Amino acid sequence: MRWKIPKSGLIVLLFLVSILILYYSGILVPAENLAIKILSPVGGIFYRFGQKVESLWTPRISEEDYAKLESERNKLTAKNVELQFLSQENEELRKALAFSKENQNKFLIADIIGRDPLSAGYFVLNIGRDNGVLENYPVVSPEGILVGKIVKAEASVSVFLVPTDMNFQTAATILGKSKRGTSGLVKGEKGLGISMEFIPQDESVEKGDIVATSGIELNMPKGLVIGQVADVQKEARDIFGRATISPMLTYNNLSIVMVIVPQQ
Amino acid sequence: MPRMERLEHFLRILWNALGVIFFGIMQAGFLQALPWPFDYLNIVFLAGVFITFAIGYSQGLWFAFFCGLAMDFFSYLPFGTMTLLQVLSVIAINFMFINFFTNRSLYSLIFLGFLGNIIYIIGLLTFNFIFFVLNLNNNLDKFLLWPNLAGLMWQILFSVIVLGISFFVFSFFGKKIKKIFY
Repeated sequence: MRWKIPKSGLIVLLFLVSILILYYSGILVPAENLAIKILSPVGGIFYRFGQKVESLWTPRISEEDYAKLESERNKLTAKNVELQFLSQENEELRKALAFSKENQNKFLIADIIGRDPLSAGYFVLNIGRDNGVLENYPVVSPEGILVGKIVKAEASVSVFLVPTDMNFQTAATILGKSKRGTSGLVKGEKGLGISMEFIPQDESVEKGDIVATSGIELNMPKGLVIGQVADVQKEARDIFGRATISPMLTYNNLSIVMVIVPQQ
Repeated sequence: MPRMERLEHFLRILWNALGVIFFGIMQAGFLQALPWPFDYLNIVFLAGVFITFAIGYSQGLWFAFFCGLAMDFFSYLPFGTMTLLQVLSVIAINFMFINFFTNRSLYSLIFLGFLGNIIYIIGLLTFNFIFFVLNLNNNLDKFLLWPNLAGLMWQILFSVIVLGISFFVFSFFGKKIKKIFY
């Protein structure tokens, strides 16, 4: 039996190969920019509509939880005021000691215009290399919480990976009882949660401790909050302990983020 | 070509282009924001299968090609992967359709969608494996994990359901839908 194979498939494949050659040689950059300009706003509208539909599935918060959150917010407000005074004091002391100011990072505001068609852990931003975005730059929420790292930067769009994705990892510190902080490695857990590994056994880590970036990684500033310790697992026979981290926010609800561009 | 015919031709191209953008963006913008397992619904693939089956091979091919290009802008995989995957799926579906199936029945459509989706998943894993080996992308393990595999199984089930529904919708509005693509 002879198979019937129409030629039009081959024509389309050849057409695709020629487009890819033009794309990777950079000739198609203006066309790409134009396509992104058209697709970005439409993508944003669809993305926000998808978020609204998803919120129908999201369970509503109970009155008990609401009261707990309200009390926590009030405590944090008081703490924030205290920290603002400390920051002012720190600034004055720096001036008095003629300390040079640390490099300030630049923040680029970006809209999320969609997600990767294959994996929900990758979010697409409407800014790219032309705006100064490069791979491994951190992405934070408007409140300054770390929400991911750039993994792909095209001319006018970029893709970032959220901390719950298993391909995400960054060096972090637990800000608990230990004054110098407990160092470890934060990793995504199959798209469902975050864990922190390589926690020394002798370090005291408790539920509720804040986890933030340690700053030892290139382009990743120190002190970006990742989440809170939800559970600690330490076995006497293991060299290191492990902690489960609960994220500070739901990444699916994000629509605007900021990319931190390090200043040289 | 008379003026009215030219206008009609232009409107048809515009309509098809809007359709392609709609499906591509819908997949990346809307469906991916839905909760699991609905985020695994692959509407572009399904539309490609349906157009190839009910309207024509070349229409299906070009639809897959342009939708793939739109989706490539949203993908973490190297540019062109999504397009290649969509086009190869349509080629495989058409090959099976003209060589192994005799008619355009509901069972043929469902079976084609089922087989086509398996081919699509195998293609996806193969591309990821190649990128992993060539160190272009290290996401192979992502697709071999149970939540992802379970999601892809859901995708096959959704494909069968959506194609079944589409078949009945098409049998009611068939002529009007066909007009859009010709």
